[in-house]
Amino acid sequence: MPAPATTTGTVAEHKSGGFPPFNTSTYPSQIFWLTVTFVALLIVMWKVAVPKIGGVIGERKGRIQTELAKAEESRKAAEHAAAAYQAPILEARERARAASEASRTEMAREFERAKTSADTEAHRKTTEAQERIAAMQRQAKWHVTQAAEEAVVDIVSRLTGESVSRTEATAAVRDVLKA
Amino acid sequence: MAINPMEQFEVKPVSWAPHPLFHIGHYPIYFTNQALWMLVVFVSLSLFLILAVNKNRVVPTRTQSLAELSYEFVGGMIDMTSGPAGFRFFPLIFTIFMFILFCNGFGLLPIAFTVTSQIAITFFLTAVVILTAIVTGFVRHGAGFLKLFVIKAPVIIMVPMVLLEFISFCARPLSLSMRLFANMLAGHTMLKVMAGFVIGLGTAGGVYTVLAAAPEALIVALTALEFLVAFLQAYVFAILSCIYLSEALHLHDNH
Repeated sequence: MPAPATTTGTVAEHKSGGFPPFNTSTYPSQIFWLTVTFVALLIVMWKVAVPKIGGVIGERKGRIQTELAKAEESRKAAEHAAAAYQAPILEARERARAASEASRTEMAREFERAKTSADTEAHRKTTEAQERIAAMQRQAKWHVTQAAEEAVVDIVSRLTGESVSRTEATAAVRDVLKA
Repeated sequence: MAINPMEQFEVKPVSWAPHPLFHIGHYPIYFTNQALWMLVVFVSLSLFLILAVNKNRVVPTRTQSLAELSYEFVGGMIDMTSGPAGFRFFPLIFTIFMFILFCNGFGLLPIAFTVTSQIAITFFLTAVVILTAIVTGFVRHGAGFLKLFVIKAPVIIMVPMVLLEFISFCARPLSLSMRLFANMLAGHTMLKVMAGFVIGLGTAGGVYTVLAAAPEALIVALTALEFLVAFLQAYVFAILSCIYLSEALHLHDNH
């Protein structure tokens, strides 16, 4: 089996075989290219990439800070506005409460007054009616007495044939009624 | 045909540039498969991170939020390990994390070369971290940086502890580089070995062809695991780097 073709035949210095990482003949090329790329990379990172990425991140952080501060300010302004909006509402509510309270007491007073006058009227009417009843009783009593006297005169004359004077009859009825 | 699972780790010049580009001293420098993928990582990473945030949207797109997520992820790592003082190392840690993450990630493409499967690469990255830590430590604390090895304790305990701390400090570059290297190497070797089984069984004919489904299923499972390892190792490397750098900044103060 033929050995795989490599370029080592044309390049004497880069020896093949053995454990490749320990092949010291490759070290100069390795170190040279590493130095070149690593130093170039270090410079690019140091001077360009790192400041750039750091700047982007810092800018965003700054912006977030600013926006947060702005948001905080807006929140405070909103709180003020809410307070300003609430104040007249509270005041109006207080006024409404006072007005309703006033009207309630006014109504109570009115009611009290009406009740009192109605009571007085009723009392007056009752007294009148009682007086009327008393008068009627007196009149009825007088009529009964008159009738009784006439009946006494009549009964006596019919039973005994004697006539009794009106005055006597009156005295007799009075005695009977008193008894 | 025998399949060598180590062949994938060979650093070799790309076929269209077989000759050294130039020499440094007498070391030839080739444009290798590894160099190609490091450039791919460099270009894609730069484009991704720059273009993602180019429009600067307040509400990010998915790409932009990925870029921001990476940034904040590394930021969180540094903050957690070394606090605000650690942020001077942000570009370094960010670069290391993203570079390793992308190298590991691209390495999972079937045609790709896994840059981080080379000890030379992982050791170099480790050296960058450890040397930065040492330089930072001495610049910040002068000779006081050596107090890193001293633990407040009776002398009889302290002397061996200083020795242990010193050994531990010296072992760091080794463990840091070996961990990443070995994880990448082992994962990809496993995948290649399983792939060898699939081809071997699949071409054997008869009942063996059916049996090839078993290693194939294992490859699928292992690939999923390798994605986890790719991320995890980048994270582990970055967070250990953070810890070492944090020690150089604060000594043992915050431990």
